[in-house]
Amino acid sequence: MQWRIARASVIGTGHIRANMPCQDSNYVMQIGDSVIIAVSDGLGSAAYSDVGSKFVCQDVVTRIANATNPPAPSLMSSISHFILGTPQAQIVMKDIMTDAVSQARTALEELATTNAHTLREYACTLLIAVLTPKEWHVLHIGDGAVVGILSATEVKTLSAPDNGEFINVTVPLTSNEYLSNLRFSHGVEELYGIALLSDGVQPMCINYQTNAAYPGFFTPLIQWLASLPESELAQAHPVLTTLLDSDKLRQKSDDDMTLVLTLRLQAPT
Amino acid sequence: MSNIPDVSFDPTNPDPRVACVLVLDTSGSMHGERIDQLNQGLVEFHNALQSDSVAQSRVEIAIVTFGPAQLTQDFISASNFTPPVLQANGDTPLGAALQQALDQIAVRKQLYKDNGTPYYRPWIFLITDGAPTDGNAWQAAATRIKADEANKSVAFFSVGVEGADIEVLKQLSTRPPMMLKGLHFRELFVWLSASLKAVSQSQPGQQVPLSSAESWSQV
Repeated sequence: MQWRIARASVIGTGHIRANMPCQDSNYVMQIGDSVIIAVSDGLGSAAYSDVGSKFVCQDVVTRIANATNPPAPSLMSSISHFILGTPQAQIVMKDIMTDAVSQARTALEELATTNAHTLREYACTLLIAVLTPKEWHVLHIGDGAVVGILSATEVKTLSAPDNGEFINVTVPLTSNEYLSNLRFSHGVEELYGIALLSDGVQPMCINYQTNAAYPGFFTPLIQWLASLPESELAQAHPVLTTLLDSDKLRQKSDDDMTLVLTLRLQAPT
Repeated sequence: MSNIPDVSFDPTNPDPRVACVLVLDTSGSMHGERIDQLNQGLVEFHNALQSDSVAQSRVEIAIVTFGPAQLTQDFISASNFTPPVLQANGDTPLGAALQQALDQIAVRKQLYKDNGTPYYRPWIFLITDGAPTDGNAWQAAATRIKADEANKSVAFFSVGVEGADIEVLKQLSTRPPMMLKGLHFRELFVWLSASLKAVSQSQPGQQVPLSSAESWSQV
């Protein structure tokens, strides 16, 4: 295992009041020294968005994993290894991730059709990050944010929320205009780690005006996760769940909250 | 279990806001029992908002009265709102009052944008018991309201008190006007505060179902 991972999706108190399920989901897959992470927030207005967010997270991560690391060596995998850390990697990974998103969306549409529902009823946002030893790639539609962790005390926003004019409006993956709303970002640098979060966590840690990540939120989390003995890493999820569920965070947001925090096993020297 | 990380929050992020302009008819025909009940309704409105800590910091209220059309209360957070005691006299310049309300919303939204304050769709809530006395000015206001409704930049509600020109109210917006049952202003304002509370705590993309208005309105 090369990664320390803490991940949690908790139901919002507003959802409990309205008798709605938790519509946030997350999914993480480690492949050697790389990791693929997805977070999705099902829209409150969509009846089956909890199903949609869960399906899309798992489906898209699996597709990216298969494309970059297939069971049998393929042209794509030899290309992606050959070009790792070069400008071409950006183009190849953008294609792989965009294809995975389109295919996951098509699969979601098939699921909706099978269940005699419309795709709209599965509306959700999507944030995906791929970290390799030499670079990071992010694909994002809707709100929520992706934050790069440079060191135990330094964070920077890699992909900012895309809210509409009003706080309760965003463009979901299920929109017909999803392709033109996909935001890809990329960097050639070895990040110490990365954090993906749904909009329920935004008020605490992403500045509304500048979209800057707030170090006072992330630093205690990074230091906590980095200090866990390897044998106790499985405890990271319930601790993070307890934090998101705490009154302190609930006072800032009654929405569903998802946070996935991923660090390399060893801090960069 | 290990200790819970002690995170702190970005202190500069303001709470999201929902702006509501009350456009209230204070023309001569509102004199007596009507204006007294309207004032009582505003007191109920104040009390209901005070009981909700989230709504207190998120709901912002302004009041435009007519006539003459004037800004009686500039935008103020619900926590600082004090219900005014309105007097009834003058005519019914509905068009001018609605234009003023739309202008106030536009200014407020620009302020939110400049400050990076997230905001919900603002509300305009009109209550009148008469017919416009400023000629066709209400038609220009109606055009503006319909355009703002169509691009979802404002939600417009109108309530007619007995004697209101319902045909004019019908043309102000695609959303049909509601008629006040008797002088049930208090029930109306309890409903309005509950609706604003629901909006101010709504989730992204969520259509806020408004509760039934049957306690104060009639078809």
